[in-house]
Amino acid sequence: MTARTGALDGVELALLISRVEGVARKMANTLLRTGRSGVLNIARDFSCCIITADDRLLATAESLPIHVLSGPDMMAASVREHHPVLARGDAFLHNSPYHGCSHPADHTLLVPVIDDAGVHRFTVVAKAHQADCGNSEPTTYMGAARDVYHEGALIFPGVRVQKDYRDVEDIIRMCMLRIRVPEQWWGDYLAMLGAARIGERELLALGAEIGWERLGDFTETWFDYSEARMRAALSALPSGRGSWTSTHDAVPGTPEAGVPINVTVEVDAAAERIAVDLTDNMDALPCGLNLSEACARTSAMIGVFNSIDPTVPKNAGAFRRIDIRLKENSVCGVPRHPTSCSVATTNIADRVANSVQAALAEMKDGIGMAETGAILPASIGVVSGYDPEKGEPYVNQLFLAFTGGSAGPHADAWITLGHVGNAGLCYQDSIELDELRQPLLVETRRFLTDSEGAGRTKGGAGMLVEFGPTRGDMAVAFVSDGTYNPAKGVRGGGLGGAAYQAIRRKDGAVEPTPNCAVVTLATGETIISHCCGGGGYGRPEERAPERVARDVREGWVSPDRARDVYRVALDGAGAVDAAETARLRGAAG
Amino acid sequence: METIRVAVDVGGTFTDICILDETTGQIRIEKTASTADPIDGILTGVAQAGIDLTKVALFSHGTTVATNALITRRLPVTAMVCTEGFRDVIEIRRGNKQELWDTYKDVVRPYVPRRHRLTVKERVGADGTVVEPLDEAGAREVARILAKRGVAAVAVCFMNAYVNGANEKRMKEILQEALPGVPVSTSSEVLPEIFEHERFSTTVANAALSPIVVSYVNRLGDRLKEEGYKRDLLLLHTGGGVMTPASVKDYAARLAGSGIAAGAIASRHIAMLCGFRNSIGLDMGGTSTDVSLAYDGQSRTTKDWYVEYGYPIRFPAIEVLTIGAGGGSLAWRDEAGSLRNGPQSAGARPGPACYGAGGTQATNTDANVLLGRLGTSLAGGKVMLDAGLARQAVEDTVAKSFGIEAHAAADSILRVANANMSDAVRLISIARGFDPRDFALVAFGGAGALHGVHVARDLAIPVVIVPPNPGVTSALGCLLVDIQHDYSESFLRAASDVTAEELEAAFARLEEEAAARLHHEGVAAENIVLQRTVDMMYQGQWRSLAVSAPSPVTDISALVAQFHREHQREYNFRRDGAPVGLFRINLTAIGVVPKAELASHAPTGKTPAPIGRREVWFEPDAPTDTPIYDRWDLPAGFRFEGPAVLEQVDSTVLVPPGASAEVDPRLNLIIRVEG
Repeated sequence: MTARTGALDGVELALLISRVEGVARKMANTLLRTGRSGVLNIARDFSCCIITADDRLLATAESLPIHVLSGPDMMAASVREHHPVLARGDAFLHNSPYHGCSHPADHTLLVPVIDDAGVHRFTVVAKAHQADCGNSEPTTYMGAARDVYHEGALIFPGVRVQKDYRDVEDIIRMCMLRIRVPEQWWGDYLAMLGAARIGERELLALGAEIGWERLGDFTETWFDYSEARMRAALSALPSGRGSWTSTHDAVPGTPEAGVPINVTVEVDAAAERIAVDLTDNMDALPCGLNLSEACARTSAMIGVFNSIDPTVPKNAGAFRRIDIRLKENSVCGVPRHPTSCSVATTNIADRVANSVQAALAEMKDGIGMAETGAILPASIGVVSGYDPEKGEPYVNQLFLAFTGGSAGPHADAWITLGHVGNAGLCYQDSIELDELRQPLLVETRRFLTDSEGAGRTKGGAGMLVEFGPTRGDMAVAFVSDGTYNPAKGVRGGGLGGAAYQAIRRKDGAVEPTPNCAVVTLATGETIISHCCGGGGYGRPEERAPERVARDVREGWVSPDRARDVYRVALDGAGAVDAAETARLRGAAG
Repeated sequence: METIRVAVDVGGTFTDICILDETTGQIRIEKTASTADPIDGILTGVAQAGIDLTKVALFSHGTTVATNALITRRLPVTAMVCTEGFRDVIEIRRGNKQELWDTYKDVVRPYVPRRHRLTVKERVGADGTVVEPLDEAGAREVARILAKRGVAAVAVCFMNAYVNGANEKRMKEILQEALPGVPVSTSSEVLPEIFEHERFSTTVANAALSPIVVSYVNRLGDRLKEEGYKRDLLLLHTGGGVMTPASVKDYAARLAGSGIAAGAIASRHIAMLCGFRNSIGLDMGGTSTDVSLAYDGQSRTTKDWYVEYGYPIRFPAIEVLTIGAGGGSLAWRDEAGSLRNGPQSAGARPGPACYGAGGTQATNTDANVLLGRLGTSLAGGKVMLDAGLARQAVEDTVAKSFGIEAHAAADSILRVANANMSDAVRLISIARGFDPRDFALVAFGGAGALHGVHVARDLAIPVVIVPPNPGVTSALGCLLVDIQHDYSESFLRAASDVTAEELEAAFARLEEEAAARLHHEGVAAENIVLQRTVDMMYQGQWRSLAVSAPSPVTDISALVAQFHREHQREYNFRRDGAPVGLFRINLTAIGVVPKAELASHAPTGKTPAPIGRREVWFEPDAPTDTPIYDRWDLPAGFRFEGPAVLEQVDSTVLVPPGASAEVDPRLNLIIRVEG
């Protein structure tokens, strides 16, 4: 297309947004296909996005929501603050949760897109969860870290890692000395850099093609358009206030009763605004669960976006209609250095997002969602050890099983959602590939009967995984929330299945383990991990009896549970016994 | 003497028959309504066209039978036998969701329900050692249960069977004893590749489709034989070749997506005839547009392919991107005031408003009619369009709500539709490292030739080719294919540990198998072409790049060097010192079938007269007086400048102002978009 003048029309807007989103998609495709570690190229735990020169989120490819809604904007701002003069060829490494990053394991490369006149136009962002980030223990999720010193990660608050398109070798050498399996990190770094540079190249071409001023006009129009879409979505919600509390299990460093997260949501449909208040929460804890500011903001937004029209664009324009209230030094607010935010993207963040969507569901039938199952069970733990056959150490996060999907108002759950902040983006590992890459054998991976959150629509079932090392000892690190506080249903929906973890010793004895631990397995031992089910939506006795009959036939639900919870009776052939079901349901009502 | 070639493409609405007379090079087209049993429609069409099947040398067929069976789940009762502990692999999938924020859709169910997925004790390790032998008593019990359930097909899917299929093989024997006549597929035979979900999913689709497809192919083959056809029926598969009925029973799932590949093949072939080795196919029909790409004479193929999201079929498929943009796509205004186009469609009923069948929402066809780009009398007068209704729909659904004039509204509708198609072309070209300026765009399908030049201009593609029969180009594609079988095998090795001899031996084994199959199908040795590729990656990656391998392989380091170059081209960086791994070897075995030679026409030097003139709106502010030609009046060698509209039975070609066109000897229209 050629340069135009005058007001942007709907046609040109549609055309330009697909071009810009195409740039982000291309970045993501590069990272997926070229990443070195399993956490990137198998599980796809990374995100790519484009930020305006004044630090507003413009476009994301298919990205982990918890990575991008807020955070890249704050990181881009901190880079500008720390480096007032940006030049073409610069790249910045960022993972500081005190300056906008989600958590230290999410290494982020930010590349300023500088036009031929030297003007900073956009910042492209490639953000990827690392297999290791130099923590004091071989895990990227240090749930038990007392503070950032105990956590141990190298922290880069937006550090120039390329100048004139050349690496600043000092930084690379620091990383190579402190990150486990440095060659793996280096491969991932190159893949991230490749992605960011492709984004830079494509945006430079786009700006040259249609003109930077025009592209600037476009971004403003796109933000206004997105805001208008958001206003329309919010005006369809009921005005009012709702509150919800979701409690994270106790781990070392938390109170014994766990960490209750209190959220209040306020919708003003007439003003087309929504507010999420996270201030009524405890102070930051001496453990790794505390949220970064990026994750506190983002988790609140995820709960909102999960509850409205899914096609509303997620960018700074839509965000104008969301007010998020945070408190300094809170477990889910703005952390102060040296508070540890090692596990910020998942556990507490999920409790926040779940509370928002559950509070909305309780305000009106037909909106919101049930609670999604919690994560970081052993089935997605970080495994490490030394492979005597290959003669080399290994460390990687497995994604053998994660479920947790919660019921929506109209549809059963997407079972393998992962967790609420992930939205089903990540892949589950191929067992065959895991067995080839690491010296381990998976004994079982299957769904668990009766682990779904019962409801008019069902939460997803949980999964059982059992695996162990085939050569040498293997450490498995996990922070398994949901063991004591499984996902709650909404509007009368039931609980999802709880997490559980245990070690099976060589003699067959099964010993439960703590929910937050780094355990070591010897060859011949296995770890048993249950990952959580998701909560149900609506009363189970409102579920269509034919669907319950199918759930029984397919082995998701036992006949007893069908009768006791769903109040559906089946005949000998597994068909609905209509008369008995009516009697049961009548008695229930 | 058999001198007639017949190709049949059965679509949802029409069955297209393309008939080539080898002695004259003339092509005839017959169109008939598709029928509930597609075979009835095919034979009706054959009769209508007056084809004498005793004179037919080659009968090829693209079919949607397999695709439809998968989508509608009208599948025979199929069971799966899995390693204990792993019956849920195909339901866990790779887990990830297609649309992250959409919490409103139920999950599409697997092809085999959970109750028919049984398990047996056995286990093979990642290195191929048998960790636990097959529990024969358990296996027999499973076979007994399946026999009692009366299943019609069984897929045996064991962990790590790609490296050692012995347990699967034994399980198959036990099943065959207990279930005589029931087809049993094993994952190690169907797709001996790592990644259990992808392998199992392919095996399951293959097993479930096998009874349906085999019966369909046999019935059609028998009916054709009764009518006098003497050769093998050839079936177009997703990989862009044909296969014989003998191969269908082993690779039934290769027929899923059969029809889509035909258009891509035809597009590539026509572009090659016109001298363009790089081409992009734009096949725009009533409800959707299929976009494909050929580079240096080769179609892009992919193994990342599915009929329904989450259930991959890992047989190589010609890469075709389908988007919801067709003549019947609806224009609408979203709640924030942006004009949108599709993917919703007016479908066959009621169709666009101008069809007068009750449609009231504006479609692309209505916009084209209002702008005069499309005439009101189509298919030689068989279909009459109502311009008044078209105008009404454009005014009601777009013009009024945007406060603009009807022609401006229609122009906007088409600009959005063209932008959507341009996006699809970008995805398949620019996003893969191809520059559209190096390509020709082949515009076909019923509506492609109306939009082709606009899409080309949007992407700086210099040339648009419109084939002689744009509406039946896919059927033509079925005439242009070779017998093709694709083989692949996991070959997980570090490049530094492999010798050229080992790799050569692995290829030789595949080649032996391939040659035997082609020989069995009656292909003479001199007509066999074998193409080798190796999928390679940097150690640690798992998405690989295909690098073509020489025959014989003599030097691994040359392959590695080529991989570094490909990686640079595709991903913008290379890691020269990094260890490189081999992932898989692939062999494409082609049995060359003599190609249809299209008739060549000498220039006549005559200048045809337009059949009329009308006002056509190329810009929203004013119309242009434009000559209308009957396409068949234009002789080879005729050159002209836009604006012009060419009408023909199955399509309309728009040549806007600023473009120039020439009719080539095979009656393709070559349009230079910038004159």
